Amino acid sequence: MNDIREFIAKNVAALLHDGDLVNLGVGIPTLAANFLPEGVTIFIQAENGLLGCGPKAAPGEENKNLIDAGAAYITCLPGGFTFDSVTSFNIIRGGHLDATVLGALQVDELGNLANWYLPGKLLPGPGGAMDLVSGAKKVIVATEHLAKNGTPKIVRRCTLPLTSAGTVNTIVTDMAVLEKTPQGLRLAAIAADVSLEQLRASTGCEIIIPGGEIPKMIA
Amino acid sequence: MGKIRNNKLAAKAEVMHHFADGQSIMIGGFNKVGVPGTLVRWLWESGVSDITLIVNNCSNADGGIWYPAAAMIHEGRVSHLKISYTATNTELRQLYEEKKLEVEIIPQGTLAERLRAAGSGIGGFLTTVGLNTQIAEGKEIVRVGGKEYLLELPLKADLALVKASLADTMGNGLCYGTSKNFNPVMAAAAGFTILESEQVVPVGSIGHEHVDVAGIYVDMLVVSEGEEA
Repeated sequence: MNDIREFIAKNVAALLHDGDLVNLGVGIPTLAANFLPEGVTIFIQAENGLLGCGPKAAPGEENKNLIDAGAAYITCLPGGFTFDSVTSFNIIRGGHLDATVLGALQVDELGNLANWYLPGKLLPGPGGAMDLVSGAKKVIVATEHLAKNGTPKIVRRCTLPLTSAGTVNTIVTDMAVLEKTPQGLRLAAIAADVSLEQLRASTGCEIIIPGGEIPKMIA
Repeated sequence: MGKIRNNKLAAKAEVMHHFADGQSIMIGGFNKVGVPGTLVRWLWESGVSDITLIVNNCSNADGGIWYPAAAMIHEGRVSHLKISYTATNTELRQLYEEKKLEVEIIPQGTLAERLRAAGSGIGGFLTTVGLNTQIAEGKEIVRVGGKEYLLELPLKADLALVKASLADTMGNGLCYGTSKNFNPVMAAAAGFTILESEQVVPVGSIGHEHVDVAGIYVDMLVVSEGEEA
């Protein structure tokens, strides 16, 4: 696995469906756009006011007024359009997004997400994240399984300030795909080179292991 | 006097006259796009202090379009900051944690909707965004149909500084690409609105179906002096 971030992004992309309108957060989530299945029409919304995000603008062809939420100069696909922040958050908060994909500082077995404030270290602010996790039909968290200091990002209860309470549906990491259920996090797929023991040791809460053969993540 | 005037173009000196200590000021823009960079610089040059600043983001990158506003924060001339995305300002975490500056962190959609409420005569609205988070602290929780919501209140300001790519002299503005962002909604949410435009054209030159910032909300119009992202 030479690029963990691309591996995660590929497995996120596999969760999206033909016809979906999705919002991809900065970082690994944005990479998912590079791995969308062939032949599907998926529109990406950027909360700064663009629906139908196309590829990044070619060097020398940047439109100074056309950026995505991460400030990259991009293009707009035919059928896409631009709009103001009120319309953008009508789309987001009004339940019109089929899925949103975000990063995490911590995520827990109740589907709580923390990704806007690491006291003493980092204050990115929520931007549109709180709106996205409240409004989208499906909330997918895409993150490395372990934090940079080696501690689990997936925990029993988030200790960092929350972005949302209980709204995460699916977690995709470099080790596993986990689905939130009323009973806790259930293993949906595991990376080919990861054992159940390794997964348990790297996770800060119980994982429900279904019977039968566990599907492998897309390599 | 109503706001329908054929020529709202103003010189820098007239604009400077409208900046004062203690004002609340909202500034349009998302990241580096749609920011009224000339007005932001004039505001900084005016020397005013004790300002309540309402922005989506405010990067302190040296030489960036937001830099004059970030400098006002750095110089202690901003007493209150209402903001959604803080990542681009490397100074804010410390100011927030040391309480040197009163910072209100607002989810971006709540910010947009509070501005919309202010400009639309809406007394408040209910949302699930921010429930059970720090954002909910001190806010009223309202139950409707068995479901909990946060009550969010309108957000007004004395002054709005907004940006268009193209404007006619009545103040009708067209915003290219993703430069609309907070500009149309802020224009309606302030007591006095100054529109900065990269280009000013005669009345009637912008197709009536292409107006993003409504001239009826604009009090004064200035031409950009070239600040760009």
